[in-house]
Amino acid sequence: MGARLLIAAGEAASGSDALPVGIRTLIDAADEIMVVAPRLPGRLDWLASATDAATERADERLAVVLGHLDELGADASGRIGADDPLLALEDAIRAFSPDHLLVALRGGDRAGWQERGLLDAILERFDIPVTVFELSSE
Amino acid sequence: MASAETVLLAYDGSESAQAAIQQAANLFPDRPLFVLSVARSVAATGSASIAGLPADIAGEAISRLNEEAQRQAEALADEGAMAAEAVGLEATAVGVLSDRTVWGAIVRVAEEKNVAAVMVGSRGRSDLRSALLGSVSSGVIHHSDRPVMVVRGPSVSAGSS
Repeated sequence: MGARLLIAAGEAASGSDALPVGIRTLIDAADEIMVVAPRLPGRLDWLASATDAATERADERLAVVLGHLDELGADASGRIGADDPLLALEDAIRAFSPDHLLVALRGGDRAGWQERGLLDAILERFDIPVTVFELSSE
Repeated sequence: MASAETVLLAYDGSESAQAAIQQAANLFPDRPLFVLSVARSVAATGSASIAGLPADIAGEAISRLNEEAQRQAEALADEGAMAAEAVGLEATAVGVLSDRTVWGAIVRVAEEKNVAAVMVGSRGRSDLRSALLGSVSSGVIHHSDRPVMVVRGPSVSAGSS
């Protein structure tokens, strides 16, 4: 099928077993996978000019997600994205031309993404199927 | 019937719902599919106040309107299930009447059926209804605890990509 899957890692699962079964199916079906981990600086990071900390967190998140994909036997590449998740996705979509976008959020984060209108903006902006899923906070 | 292996596809006959069926065939070819169509009850559409009619007559009228809405939901779900079977999927039609929002009914059925994922079209059946039905995908994505896939129809152009 040649499916190219872009995963926006707003959060990492505690392990590949924690991925919902529907998501594992999508990962299994993909031929090529790219993971983008937006930096997602918090308000305090901006105040303290501590965006390096946000980059470190994104780097860790990316490494965890790539590790889970490796456990599942999926070969994936990854990159750290811009601070703004929409810009990070736009850049990654331009570079990777995915057929499908997966957005991984933690339960607590979904409210934050909702507040900022990010999920609606993603649905509105990108002309590919978008799957949003929630990871348990365990 | 409930199964975490099953996928729930919300179907309203729109181009994006039909595109979702094609995506289901591409991405979940081996998973059974529930094809769900939702009709809103008379109470939900706010037309329950049939002014001036005696309560028993109004109640009878409302009951008939709801039965008709239920039939339409079932017919639409059947249409969607046939379209899904035509692309090789094993599909079961589910038509429900909702007293509240369409997205609320989709989220509820997804929980009741314990599905692995929910698929919805990004826009509804006509331009006139698109604003309302676009809010269905938004409502489902914001409120379901299942993975939710939103699929665009071929005629919907993106702002940018």
